[in-house]
Amino acid sequence: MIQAGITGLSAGGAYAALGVCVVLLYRMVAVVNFSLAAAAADGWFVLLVLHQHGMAYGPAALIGVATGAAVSAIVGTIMALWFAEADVRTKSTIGIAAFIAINTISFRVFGDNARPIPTQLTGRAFELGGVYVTGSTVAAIVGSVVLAIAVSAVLAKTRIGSELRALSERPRTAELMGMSVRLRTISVWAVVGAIATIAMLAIGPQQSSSFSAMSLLVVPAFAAALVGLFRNFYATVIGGIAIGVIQGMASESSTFAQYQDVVPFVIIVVAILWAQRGEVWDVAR
Amino acid sequence: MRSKALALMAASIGVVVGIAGTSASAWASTATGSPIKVGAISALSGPITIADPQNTAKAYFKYINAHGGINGHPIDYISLDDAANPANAATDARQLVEQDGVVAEVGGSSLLECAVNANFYVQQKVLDIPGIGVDQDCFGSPDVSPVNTGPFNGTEAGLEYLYKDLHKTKLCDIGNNVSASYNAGVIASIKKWEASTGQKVLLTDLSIVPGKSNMTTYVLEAKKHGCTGVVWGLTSTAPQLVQAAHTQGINFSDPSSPKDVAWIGLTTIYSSQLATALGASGNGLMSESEFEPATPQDANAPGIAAWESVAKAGGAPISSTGEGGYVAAKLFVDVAKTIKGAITRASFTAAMHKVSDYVSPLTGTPYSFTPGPAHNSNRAIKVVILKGGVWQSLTSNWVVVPS
Repeated sequence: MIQAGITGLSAGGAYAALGVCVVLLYRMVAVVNFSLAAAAADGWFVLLVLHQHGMAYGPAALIGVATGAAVSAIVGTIMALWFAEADVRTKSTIGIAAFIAINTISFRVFGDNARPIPTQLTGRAFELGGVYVTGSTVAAIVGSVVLAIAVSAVLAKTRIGSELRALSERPRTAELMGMSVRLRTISVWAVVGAIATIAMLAIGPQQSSSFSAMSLLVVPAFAAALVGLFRNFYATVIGGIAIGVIQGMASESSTFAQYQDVVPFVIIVVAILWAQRGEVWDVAR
Repeated sequence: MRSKALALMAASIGVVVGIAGTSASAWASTATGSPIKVGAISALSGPITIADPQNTAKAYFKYINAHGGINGHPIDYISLDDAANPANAATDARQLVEQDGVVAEVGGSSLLECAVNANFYVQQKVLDIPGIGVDQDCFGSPDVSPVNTGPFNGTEAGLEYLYKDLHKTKLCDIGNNVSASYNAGVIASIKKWEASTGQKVLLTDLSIVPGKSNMTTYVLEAKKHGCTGVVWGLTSTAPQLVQAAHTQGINFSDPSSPKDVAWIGLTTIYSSQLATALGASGNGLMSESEFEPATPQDANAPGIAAWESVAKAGGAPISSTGEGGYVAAKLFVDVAKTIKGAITRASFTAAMHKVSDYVSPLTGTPYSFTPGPAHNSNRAIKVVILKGGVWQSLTSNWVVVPS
């Protein structure tokens, strides 16, 4: 059981990092970004293709991250240009449309053929409970914690953080004070896309070569974000890792393994019910 | 569509030639008659894709059309995608059979098409000859007879090879969770093998969801059960599985060694793309080949050169599943050529039902589509092993399972 739980750590780390990205974007531009993992998966697949054609890991990873950032920025540009004033529901709908569009185009471009996997992060880091934990697992866990600390610090203590908060809470006022809303919004999308791609690079070697499966990693990321109620980065990290570990444990039994995809949904429902616990029954439901 | 355009072009040329009074024999190499419609339903998108069979069948039909067609009639090949969606599979079959009026379905490869459409084919009296049949109904229906060995005979043959040839006694089966009927078929094959040998398979786990499952879990599971030989079926997740095995210290580079774990994949593992993707990291990984393998050792085997040249000319990859599409397409053409008179659904069905021992140099047992409740005439595999990113033959004789 413990052994199986440990195998879920790498996925948990990636869910946590992607969850932090989801919360960050929600807090900055009030968008529930369904296309996050799809944009990041584009970055991962560009890395795979470049690696397959002999490019060294470093430059290929950089181009991959740039691709993830660019795809995310394109979605961000659409949002900033045409839907800046729209409500969360409309923006989320656009996010879903972007998810479907990126998924369809990318499947046609990349297919799901087996590709060589870069081995830079697949070496053993250490042994835990009879399982060799890989470098990518350590990178995903440590990376997501560092990301949560860094993002919290930037938002709370830096000028750019204050500006971004102003942008999200009072966009009109911020614009009247001379801030470039569009540029900052698009930049936030690009940065989030880049971070999500880095998370994808950490988890990619242990996931499949299927684009649609990678892009659906956004579902457990949402569940993690809900554990943090779309506000708290640390709770999001804990939620992400917990989902990964629970899925790992479920995979040990062949009966439960078939239902491990249900884990994020159960957590989503529980988190929503928990968030509404103070509400009057009739109003909330 | 291309073949349609080709036929149209060829027909116009024929008319011009006729008017000019030139001998028609100058153009005899291109088919000019009315097209023979042939369909196929395959998993071309979705969670698991098997596109090579219809690609190779298409390449073969293109070749035949360029060489006079079937008695002068070109083949119009209509290949549809079901995206592993039962509703699509049902719609596709109705389009092919009712709207397009295909003579038969040939060279398809779907994860669920047989289960969805087998009864419809019986009602419509249309035959389906999949290049790669997957689900249990492909091998258990009156009007479906795939040319491939399939995952059920394949599972049994894989266990047999590990036990008899490699002397592995701690055997396990790890595979994809394709569908309830598929899983039941695999389990029935394992039980059949256990009954025939008196051996017990230590672990049967058919819960892998491609793209979602963590391969490390399965590698650790095999390690925990002490498996020394594993039959497994994966394609797109194979690199992750190999990676996980290396990380968790499971050595498989020399399957004949008692110390190493022998991993033998069902036939979908055997593809040049996967070999290139794995490179040296896949050394020792074995795969079944349900057809004569295109390895350096078997390059001169009968039928290989013809298949490879057709596939390459048509831009189809060289893979075991592609070979299935080729065998099915060639079978269709060979049988259709024996028909005297018009090639219709009825005449083709009648001719096909007389086929009881069609021998292809690319398969281990003769093909049969005589009337009966079930068809799985291909019961043989060969085994290939990955060395330095190239598949090599391990067996010179076919491993045949009892019917």
